[in-house]
Amino acid sequence: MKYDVILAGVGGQGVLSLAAIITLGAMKDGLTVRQSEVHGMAQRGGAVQAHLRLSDQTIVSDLIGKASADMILSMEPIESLRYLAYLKADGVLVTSTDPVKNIPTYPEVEGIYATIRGLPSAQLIEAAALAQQAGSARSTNMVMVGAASAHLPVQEKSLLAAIDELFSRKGEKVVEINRKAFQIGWETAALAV
Amino acid sequence: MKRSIIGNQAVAYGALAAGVDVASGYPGTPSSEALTELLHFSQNNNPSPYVEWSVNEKVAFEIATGAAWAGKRALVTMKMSGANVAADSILSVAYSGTKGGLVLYIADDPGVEAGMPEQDTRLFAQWAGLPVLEPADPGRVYELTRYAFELSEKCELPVILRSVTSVAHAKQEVEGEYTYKPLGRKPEFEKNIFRYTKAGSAICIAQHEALLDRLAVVERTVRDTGINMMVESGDRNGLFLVAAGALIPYVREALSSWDHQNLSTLFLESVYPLDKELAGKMFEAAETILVLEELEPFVEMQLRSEASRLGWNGSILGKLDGLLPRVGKYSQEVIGRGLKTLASGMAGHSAATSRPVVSSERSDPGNEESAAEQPVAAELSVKHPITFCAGCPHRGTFLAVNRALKKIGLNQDNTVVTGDIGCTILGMNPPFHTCWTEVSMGSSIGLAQGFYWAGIENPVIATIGDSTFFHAGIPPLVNAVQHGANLLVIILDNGWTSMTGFQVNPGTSEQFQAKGARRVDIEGIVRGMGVENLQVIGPFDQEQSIEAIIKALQQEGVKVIISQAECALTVARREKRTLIYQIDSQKCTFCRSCLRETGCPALYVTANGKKSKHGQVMAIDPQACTGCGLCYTCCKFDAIHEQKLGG
Repeated sequence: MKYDVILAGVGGQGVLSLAAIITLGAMKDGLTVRQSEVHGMAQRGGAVQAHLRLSDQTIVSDLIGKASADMILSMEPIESLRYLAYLKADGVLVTSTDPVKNIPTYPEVEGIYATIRGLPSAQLIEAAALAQQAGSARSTNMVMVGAASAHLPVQEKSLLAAIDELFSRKGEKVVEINRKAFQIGWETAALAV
Repeated sequence: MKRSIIGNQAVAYGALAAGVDVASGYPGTPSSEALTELLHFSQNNNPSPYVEWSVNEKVAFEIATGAAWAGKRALVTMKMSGANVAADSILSVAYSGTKGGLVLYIADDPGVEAGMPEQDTRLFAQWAGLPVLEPADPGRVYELTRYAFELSEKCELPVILRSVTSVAHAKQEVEGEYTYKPLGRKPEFEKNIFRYTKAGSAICIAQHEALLDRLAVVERTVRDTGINMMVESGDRNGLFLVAAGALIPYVREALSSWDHQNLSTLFLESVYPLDKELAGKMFEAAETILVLEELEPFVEMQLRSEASRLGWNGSILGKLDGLLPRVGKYSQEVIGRGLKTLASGMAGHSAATSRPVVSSERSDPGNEESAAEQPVAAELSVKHPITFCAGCPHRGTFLAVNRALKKIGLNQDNTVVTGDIGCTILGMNPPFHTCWTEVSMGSSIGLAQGFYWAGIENPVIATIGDSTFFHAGIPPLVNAVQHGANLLVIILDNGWTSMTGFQVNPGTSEQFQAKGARRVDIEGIVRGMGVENLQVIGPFDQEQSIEAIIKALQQEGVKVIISQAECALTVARREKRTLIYQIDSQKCTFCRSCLRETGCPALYVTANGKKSKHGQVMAIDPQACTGCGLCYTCCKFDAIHEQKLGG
């Protein structure tokens, strides 16, 4: 088994913590994980992108070839479309609907959603609103981990254990919110599948 | 034990496993996390090595050299540009060699992830005459860092451990010790002017010969380790593939699904000096050789030179025949193009083969652009801008510069503002468009003097960050004072080396300095140079800042403004916010002045206004806003107001 994910988003959206949770969860399941260099500057508003590969065997290289990713997982709708060439024919695109509109010329979101809906397999997740439900907008990225987990070959309990581990030093409340965000994300995506 | 770490962390743990005694460096993407990890380790463990962020790469290298000359093991880390700063000492130390293991970790950036030239450190190493190890992935980084210390001691030469972004920042599980075992050596430095000075021709010539002898030892020593691996295919078709460093895993992956002829392989992780015996063995069996390496044709040139020396008649495919690019990172598509050309057996006329190969690449379904990409092309032309973070004090400084220029009838298009390395250079980006140049650390102040002496009539302004000022900004400012240039230098002092991950620098507040370290005051340095016209401002106070800039621009001589406020991200890590700003959707007219002038990432467009066209208004993300108030200074409609945060 191998499962290739293209991660995308904008600096400051928590793409790296999202990757860290999936990596740790997959390791708990005994999978091998490799993550490529992260393109883009974190925290500074620009596009961010990385490759994440999971397998039950040795992974030779960390790069995903064109038309071979099983999933594009994105925190931002425009950014989700930037790497479509990497998605394989039966791959799934999972993206948050929340645009980062920090430019005066951001295109009409409805057009972007329509393009995404037109793909063979895509899920638009209202991640920020769901994160609010979980208790904090800061858990938006965990909603997306939850949504992705409906497709990822990683057990939910392993991802939850990863959340416990990585957020534990921030206190029980933060762990609880992030667990809840994960659950809500998973339910939303699983119901839609 | 196994841990999931990036390549740079693997440098740290490899060095710890080798018993490194002293580690120094200057931050620079993509190298920074190596020393960050060591510093973290040293702050939390005992025993631990001595670790410091030095003021610049030259000083860092000299510290490591001193320790190594005293017989200890030393590591120095930097990005490729830093090697240029340290070059004066590196080339000299190469002549003297070393006693204790001295490893230079230098990270290159093919594809330019972080700005700066696509400099190939392997050429630098050849120029200096130092051996280069080039690990293929984070796991190999760990192993080869350990080995580099051994090699350095055996050959008595500093060893360059070269990585690239795709290795330095890749993450994988690495089997390692993750502990520190000090070697417990007694420091001893032998007084030997023939080895450790350059006083006189005879000494230098003898040292040059010694360097070449030591390089020959490196070649033999590495040969016995199996770091470079040649595997000949059974069918003796004469097709060889040579791959170096970071490309080895990508080539392995490409070969794992390769269904053409079997190819023999030579994988190199020790790229300089070339193992001529191994190359000779390959030439005996090879008819066509494909060389895969990013950036310069470094291995290729060494192979071509050896082939010519041996009178070998086969052909070499690579960059010099135009088949493969010298620019950027290699994608699987580029590697695939090389492999297909090699397999097509069109040896001898490789330049002509590149065209048909490209077209066959197009017919490969794996490389076809997804059809779905077409309709979104226009939308994708929108790029999320790289800008100052929410609450960044530099936003205030550049806003004040632009406003001051406007107020006295100048503007960004007729006033030269030189920029410098680090976060401050984002002043060149929208919406500021303030900075005109970016060259190298400290260059803003030297360039500005050149513009002045060239006779540019409008005032010239240099902008530079605090860490960059300490690194290389002091000598050019001394020069300006001495020669009486007319310029304004603005030092944007946020107290940290932020762009590379918030490293401590000499100006960082005392409470964050390492144990036994102290703060060095920029204001005191500037006054000590004899700058009399010095003002200190807070960039969130726009009125004060604009006034100070105008005052300075209207005076003669060297003027310095220190614009002081701590990096918003380091503040946010420590302190709870007490106040933010919000926008009243009833009052917002969607004029977008706030976004156009500040470009703050906390501002966004939303659709619940009543007053404005399309019902759109501006809003402020309450999670991101730090309460700096700069957007407030842009709003003419009184729509932006403070909001106190409870608790």
